Amino acid sequence: MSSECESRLNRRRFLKLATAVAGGIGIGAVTEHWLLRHRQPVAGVTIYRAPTYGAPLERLIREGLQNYPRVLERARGGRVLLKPNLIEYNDARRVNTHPSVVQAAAAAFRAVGAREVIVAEGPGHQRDTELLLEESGLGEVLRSEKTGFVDLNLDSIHPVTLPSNYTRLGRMFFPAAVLAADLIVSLPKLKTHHWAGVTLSLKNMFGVVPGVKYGWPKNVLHWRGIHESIVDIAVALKPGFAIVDGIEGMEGDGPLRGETVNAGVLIMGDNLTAVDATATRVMGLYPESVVYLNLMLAHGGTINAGRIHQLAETVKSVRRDFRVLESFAFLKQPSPWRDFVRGL
Amino acid sequence: MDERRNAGLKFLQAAQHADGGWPYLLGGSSSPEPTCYAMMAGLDGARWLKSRVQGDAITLDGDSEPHWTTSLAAIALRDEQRFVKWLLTCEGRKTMDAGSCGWPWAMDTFSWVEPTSYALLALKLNGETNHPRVKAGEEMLRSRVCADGGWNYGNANVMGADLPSFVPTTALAALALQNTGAAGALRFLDAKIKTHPSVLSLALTILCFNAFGMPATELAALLARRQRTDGSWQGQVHLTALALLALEASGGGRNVFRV
Repeated sequence: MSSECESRLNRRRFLKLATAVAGGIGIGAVTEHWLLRHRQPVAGVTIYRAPTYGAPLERLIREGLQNYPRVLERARGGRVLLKPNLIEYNDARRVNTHPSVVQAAAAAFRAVGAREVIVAEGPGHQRDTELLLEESGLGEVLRSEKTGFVDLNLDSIHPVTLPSNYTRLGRMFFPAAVLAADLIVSLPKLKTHHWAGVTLSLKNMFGVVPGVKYGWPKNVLHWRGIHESIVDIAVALKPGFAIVDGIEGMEGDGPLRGETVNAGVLIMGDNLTAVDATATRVMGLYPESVVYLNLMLAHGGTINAGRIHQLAETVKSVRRDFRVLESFAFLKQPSPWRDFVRGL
Repeated sequence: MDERRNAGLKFLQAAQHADGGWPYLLGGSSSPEPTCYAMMAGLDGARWLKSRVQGDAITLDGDSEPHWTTSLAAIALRDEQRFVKWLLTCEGRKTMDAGSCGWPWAMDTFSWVEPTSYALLALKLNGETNHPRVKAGEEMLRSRVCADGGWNYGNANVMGADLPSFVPTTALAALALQNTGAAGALRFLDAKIKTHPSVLSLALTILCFNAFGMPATELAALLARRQRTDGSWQGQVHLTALALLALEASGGGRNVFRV
């Protein structure tokens, strides 16, 4: 990424936050009371095996969508915005959501009756979106499917008050296309992340933050806290569905310089925290130790495996052992307050 | 070439809003960057651009924070010395390991290659070539040259690993350093542009090569062929204006970024 010292700073912030959250749970009756008031809702997360990008992805997504009647209701006759993870054109296949997954998702939402499906992304590092689309292969897919693309970095922007406001920004500008969508679908890739631990459907929403206001990269979000920013964006925009491209994931020094893991899964659901918690478990990591997932507990998120109905495959049957950077070794260990979260 | 230029200008004229500004994409709201580039291409958007000034800087609609496009405004509106004054005082947060400071995209964040390049170009084009702030910005850019000779958008390496350069960032940084030399960057661009022929990359590389006195006829022909039937490049205002500026320079006309 951009700067080593920035990386150090964010890791320090991560540990500080994690310590604060864990410490609060251990000693704070007030915190405990607060968490008990926010009992985690039951969520359904669907896992399908998909060994390669040649698998019948559209059929799998269509079948998976049947598990979520409220999502189908929102999609029917509505404007569905698909938000893939499109960051770099170097090593495009390893880094970005694969075009086949985007194509399959677009076809699936059309098949269930969406009035319009658009693909939208505001690449976080590159201003050259045209090159990014071509080198990633997504441009060709969009043309062949006649699917519209909106560069969220260049769209008109409007301020939105942040209900959670962990960043203390008070409000954040978001693109018109995102605000006009009836259903936002996050399409991340299954990856480790050198600042956030893991990058999945919630972190993927960073890409809706417009570069024209926040720059390339969106450095304001790093200064305001990655975890705080992830939650503020999710709470403000309420993305309604997620499909994680875990066919080829990334371990180690993600999101750009890690190694490919052939995990062979698609993970989907309408509670993005539950989807990310499940995906984290599929990576062989403990979601209770991911700070932003814990912050999402106060906003309808579900981490507790006992409150996540696993549909199709079980986590155990597809679990892998993703390598993490040394600084995130704690994600491999049960969180000290895991048992407490289990009780919620 | 006149025909292409006229078609491009016609697209830009049709895209201009009644408020006097231009959007990035047709139907969008007026925004400073496309407005500045349309103005550099020869159209009049001064009224709208001046309406976006708060203090000495450009701001976005609905926002009061000084915006990075103040640099572009200082190029598009050369008579506005307040932009120069603001740029001379603005700086990005210093990293823990870097002495020199450039310019940020957003206030109170780190310096990055692109906004630093825009600011240096704006200051130099407004006669501030030897100002200490300009020297510090140049030093910051030089400290971030990648192993391949060009520029990434941020640092040259992170945690011991070299980062790759990109064409647009390299072309902009080389333009910003055109009075001091950037031979490695020109070699990088020459090698890379053939495999990265996007409109943005082509236009900036042509402007860069032209500023250094290098021929770019083939690149200009390639860029010209990318013009759409509606006169635009990619249907985007800032890319269309930038392409027109590149073709103008390549055809022997002015180069708005030549210092």
